[in-house]
Amino acid sequence: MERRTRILITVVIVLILLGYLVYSTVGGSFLYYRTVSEVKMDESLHGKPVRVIGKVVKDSFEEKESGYRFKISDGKEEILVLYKGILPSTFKEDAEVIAEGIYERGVGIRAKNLLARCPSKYITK
Amino acid sequence: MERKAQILSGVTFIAMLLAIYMVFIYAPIERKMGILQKIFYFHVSTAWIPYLAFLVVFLCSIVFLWRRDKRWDTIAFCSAEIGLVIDTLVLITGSIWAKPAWGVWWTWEPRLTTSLIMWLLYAGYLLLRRSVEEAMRRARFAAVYGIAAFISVPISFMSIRWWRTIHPVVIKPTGIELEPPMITALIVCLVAFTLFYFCLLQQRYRLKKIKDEIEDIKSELGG
Repeated sequence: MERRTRILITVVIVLILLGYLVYSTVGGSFLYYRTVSEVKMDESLHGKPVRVIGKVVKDSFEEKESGYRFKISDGKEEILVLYKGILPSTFKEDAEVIAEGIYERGVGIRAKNLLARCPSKYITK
Repeated sequence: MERKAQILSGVTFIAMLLAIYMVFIYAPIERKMGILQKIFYFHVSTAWIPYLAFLVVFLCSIVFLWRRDKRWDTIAFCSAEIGLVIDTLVLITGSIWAKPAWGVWWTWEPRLTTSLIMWLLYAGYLLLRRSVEEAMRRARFAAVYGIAAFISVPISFMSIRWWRTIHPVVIKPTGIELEPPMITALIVCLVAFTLFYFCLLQQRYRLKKIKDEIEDIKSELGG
């Protein structure tokens, strides 16, 4: 009986953790990130946390007292990103980034995190 | 048998030295990420080992249920243990690389999440084994679990191909997007770590068998 209880507890704990992980990743949607166009088209995302991918638009980068401001684009649509943290080392114009934060109507993405997506192609000097 | 183990250890040792040479001296420096990209070789070649190790668990579990020979259960156990230790290294090297490359230590994206689930499932496998005392019962339970848990392996492997992720896909059906000397270095690393896995598996199996024999003698003596 005791052994069985221990097995049961182990299995239940593992299942709960798995369930939580699966839910927190794919829960709601299967999407890790959305494109700028997808975010702009979806009214239901206003005020919600989102992850948006896009390339940093040329000449859009500004550093202000309130933080960094720049636009990201998917080639069709652009969106403003407001960010206060540390920029990833690979951050530059035209680099692909993922902004994590709240989508504010009329403003853009108030990003809590900014991730850089590196190319999967490795080139030498 | 002893002789074979010594040869395998020796070959593994030489392969590891060669791998270090290939990564740090032979392979060129990457343009964008510089010296940081070196971790790629270790990360990818260690990352393939848990997949291999858990495949061995899966196959040995099937053979055990079919033949009911305890040796297969022992191999499955040893392979799961090594796979989990190396998987821990994969998560650590991945995290070390993610910080400079992406800007975060961890993000809940599909490859990272499915890999953590895989890690948890095999940690669960070892926990399950500890919670059953009678040997044949334990082997039976572990075999069923070892077969079921394997589902996490193809999911983790395919995650970056099925879903939107931040994790790069370097090895594609269209080929590897690396320059030839980088491919050579990667292949040497893959071979070295694969040899390392078999080397550990052999040593662990030998130790486990000795331990089981001692346990048997103990119980025969009424211990």
